[in-house]
Amino acid sequence: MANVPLVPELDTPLPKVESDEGLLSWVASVDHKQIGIMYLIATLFFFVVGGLEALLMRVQLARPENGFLSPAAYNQIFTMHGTTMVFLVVMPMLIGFGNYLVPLMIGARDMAFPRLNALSFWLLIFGGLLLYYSFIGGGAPDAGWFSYAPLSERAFSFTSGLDYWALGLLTTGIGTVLSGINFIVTILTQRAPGMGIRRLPLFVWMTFINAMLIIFALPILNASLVMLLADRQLNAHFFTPASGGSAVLWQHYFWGFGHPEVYIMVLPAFGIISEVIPVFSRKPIYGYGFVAGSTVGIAFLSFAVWAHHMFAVGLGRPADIIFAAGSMLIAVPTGIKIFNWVATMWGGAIRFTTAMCFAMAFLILFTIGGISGVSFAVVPTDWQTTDTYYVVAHMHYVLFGGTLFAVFAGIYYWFPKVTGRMLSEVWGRWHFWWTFIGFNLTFGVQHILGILGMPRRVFTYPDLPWWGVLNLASTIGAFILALSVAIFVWNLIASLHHGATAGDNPWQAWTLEWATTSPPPIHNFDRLPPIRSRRPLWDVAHPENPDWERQTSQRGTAGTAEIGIDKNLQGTALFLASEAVFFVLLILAFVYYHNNLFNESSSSPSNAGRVLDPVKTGIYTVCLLASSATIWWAGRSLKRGNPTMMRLSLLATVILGAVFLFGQGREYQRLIGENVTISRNLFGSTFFTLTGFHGFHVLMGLVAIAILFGLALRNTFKGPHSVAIEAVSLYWHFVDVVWIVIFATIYLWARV
Amino acid sequence: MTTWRLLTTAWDGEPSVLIGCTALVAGYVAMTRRRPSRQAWYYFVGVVVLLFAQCSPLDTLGDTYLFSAHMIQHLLLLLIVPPLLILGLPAWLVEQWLGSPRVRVVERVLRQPAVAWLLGIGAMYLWHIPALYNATLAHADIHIGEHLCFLITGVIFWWPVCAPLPTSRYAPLAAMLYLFTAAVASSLLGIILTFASPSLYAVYLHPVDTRGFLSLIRDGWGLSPAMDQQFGGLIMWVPGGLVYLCAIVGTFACWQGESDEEDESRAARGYVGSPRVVPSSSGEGT
Repeated sequence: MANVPLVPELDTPLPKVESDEGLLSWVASVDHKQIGIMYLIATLFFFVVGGLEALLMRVQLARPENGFLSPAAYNQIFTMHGTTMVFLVVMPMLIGFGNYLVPLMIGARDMAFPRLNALSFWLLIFGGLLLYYSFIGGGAPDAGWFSYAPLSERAFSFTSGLDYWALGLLTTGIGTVLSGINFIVTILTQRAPGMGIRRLPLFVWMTFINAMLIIFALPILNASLVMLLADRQLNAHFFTPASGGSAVLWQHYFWGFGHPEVYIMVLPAFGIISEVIPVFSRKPIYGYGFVAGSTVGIAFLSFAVWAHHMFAVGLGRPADIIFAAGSMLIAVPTGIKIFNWVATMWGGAIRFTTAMCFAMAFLILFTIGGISGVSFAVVPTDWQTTDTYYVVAHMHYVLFGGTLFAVFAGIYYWFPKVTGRMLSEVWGRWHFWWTFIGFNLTFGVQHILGILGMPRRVFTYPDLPWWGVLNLASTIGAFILALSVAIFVWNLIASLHHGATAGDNPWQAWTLEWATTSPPPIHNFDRLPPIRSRRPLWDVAHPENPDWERQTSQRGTAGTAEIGIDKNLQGTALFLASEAVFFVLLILAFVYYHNNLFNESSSSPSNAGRVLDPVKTGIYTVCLLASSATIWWAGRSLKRGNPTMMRLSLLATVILGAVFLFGQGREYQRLIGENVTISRNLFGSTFFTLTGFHGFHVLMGLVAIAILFGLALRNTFKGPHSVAIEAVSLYWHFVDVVWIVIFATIYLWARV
Repeated sequence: MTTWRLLTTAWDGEPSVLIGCTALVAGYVAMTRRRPSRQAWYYFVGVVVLLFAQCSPLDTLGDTYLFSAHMIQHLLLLLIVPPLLILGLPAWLVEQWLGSPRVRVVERVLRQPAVAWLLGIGAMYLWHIPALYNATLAHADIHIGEHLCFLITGVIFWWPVCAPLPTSRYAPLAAMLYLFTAAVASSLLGIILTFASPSLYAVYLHPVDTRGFLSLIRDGWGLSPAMDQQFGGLIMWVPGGLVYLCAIVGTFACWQGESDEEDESRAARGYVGSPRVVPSSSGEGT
């Protein structure tokens, strides 16, 4: 690729990097490639840990009435296995791929917010450590990976395991939201010239949609965890039926997150498959628009159908009917993808590399998992198979047979780019076949066990006909899988030292990451080819027959204009969108428990009317709203070149915000004096959690504005625009809008 | 009483509806007489759906018996009729309207994302407040006002998504986000209605059985008031959400079908997500 045309050099030369070797360069790194590699190594480590936990379970289940693990230990192990695989392996592994590849694929220097990127990664590590500290901190969590209330409440799980579980997931969850924001802003603002959204490689597009899912779905989990923690640590009553709370609300909240999560764990895998299959079929992807568009459809539908996880709860026939129909619809966009991948292979000159083998196995196994998924959308079948090994088989076909096979395909495909060396194809074949055989043996028979009625999450089983044999087969399969993982790790280590040199583009692929050296230099690209189609490297290699000449929808090179919105403002807006979801959940919890809207015979009538004083709070509310005006005035003064007025306005904002906080403190003091506390009843729980989190946001905003004020005193803002002031203003207006909703809900509506 | 009897007898054309629909058709024909086009079909289908929503058994059931039927009617008025009417407007006609500076200002204000979004979603929330909802059932005038409000806010909401002139439309990614957030907001209302206790809208608890359909509904169809309200909420939540999804997919499909020139002319107007310039002279750099 030496003779590709240049793009203009940067005006300011890149800073000289002294060294990219040594431990510190990794720990302190903000380079997306290093962070991506660390993501992959960390998740590979957790994958091995989670796999060992799975082996322990399979040993326990190898024969009926086995005594290898105690029931208590078994509960902890299966909880940790599920939690680890979902939150510490699959999701961050895909984020790691995105981290490494997205900037390379769009021709960027790095992610939009490199430091934020490092923060996301370290939050993942700390979250994982918190979770695993539970083993020595008094006992691991043992309520399953979705921790249904009231089992997860203090009355039934009295070790600190579930607290570590909630704290660990909260930590990783915040990191994941930040990653999502980072991906979206990166893809919107960091693309190379010519890389329109419609020319994005499918992996990038799916990461983009996935990031959208993340910023809207993860806050749902975070809000639920906060409520669970309030229950466990502060004796609140959100999910405790004994004191009027609702266990079913936890299920709604958890699956409101949990179902989008299913697609968060599979969309980037679809993206990997969409990159691997065309390259090894020597054809462009068939129906780019359909693959990209169906992703949008899946992402949308994923938010609308969580209740199909709850058919057995008894939601009533109307809900069952509607959600059954809605859930089956998801098969349509998913099926479109499968057909597109098959059509891409159709008539192609297929090269059966290890990566391609994994990708083709993905097609088969994911389709099986998809079909067993559709069978859960049929309500009577769902009732029969809920909480049996049929579910276990289904989700492993989707997550292991689907996502992890795609991840393996991706690792074999991109390892040469990351390290500069090829993975051994011989060991790769061994790895593939043992994985394929071991996987199907382990989980295929579990379909039958489920239909026979074997319940999941029970530490042993009676010696019923076939149960022992099938379980033994499954255990043997699990050990074959373990062997295959060992081969894989060996292949990674051996190839890293002795693998064949890869060269820039060993697979003759056409996306941008292959235009640079392997491994890429720290600044990613010395020069970029012109991007005039979805396959820029094809156009360079075949100047006589480029894509942009043949495909009418991709012709044309003209067009100008940068994106109008500053990347920091975009990031702030996305962060606020996810915060909005968080607050909506807290507000919904308040609404759910009040004013007899949902519980006609509510045992704990709202005492909002008795204890709240809307007039007094109304005055403080006016202060807060006025502070929105003053901060707007500060930005306007800056624009008009009046720094004194700007400083005064910022100061006024700080004072008004502090008055509001003072008012809230007085109200808390009075309420607590009247013995209305978070642990008193449902009103206390919902009121203090909601207003408390809002108050915390006000406080954070005040700190930010105070910093702005300090900077303004030192004449930092030269105007006419300051992104810092605009971003903080945006945040501050958001806090005010949330308060208006809270005030209307709690002080006006709930008092009626 | 059988379902068949109900479906065949429960039609009634209220004068206000008939007058309104006639005016819609007459106005359209008068304005486009000189240049008939295929687009007109959208418009006329929109009017037919409007007629159906207001005159079919759906209306009779919704007014007295079933919350869920009323919900279907409202969704037709909010989500189906307005986009069809807009799609039926020929571009030259809209251009003519926008020739007047006053109309142009109003149009520009109304298609601000915050304004259009809040009007479209706000109308939905506002009229489902029990006091207002019950008032519409008690007073025919308020009911007509409500339906007109749905139509008007519906047109305002859908205008920036499917307006005939591309200058009035949002960029595809922005439009998709606009529709997605609207879907989330309307789903939220559907969720609240689904799980609220069934005493929300008292009229449907004990319907006044003027037409004699009650025993068919309760015994023949097996719909209790609780199930009826659940269905209503769920219809807003899932099928309502699907309408937004169809719009999102439609927006995406149009975008994919565009040529690069169109995409880039949008980029020239500063929209997010379009390709930036490629240096056409290769090799030199700056």
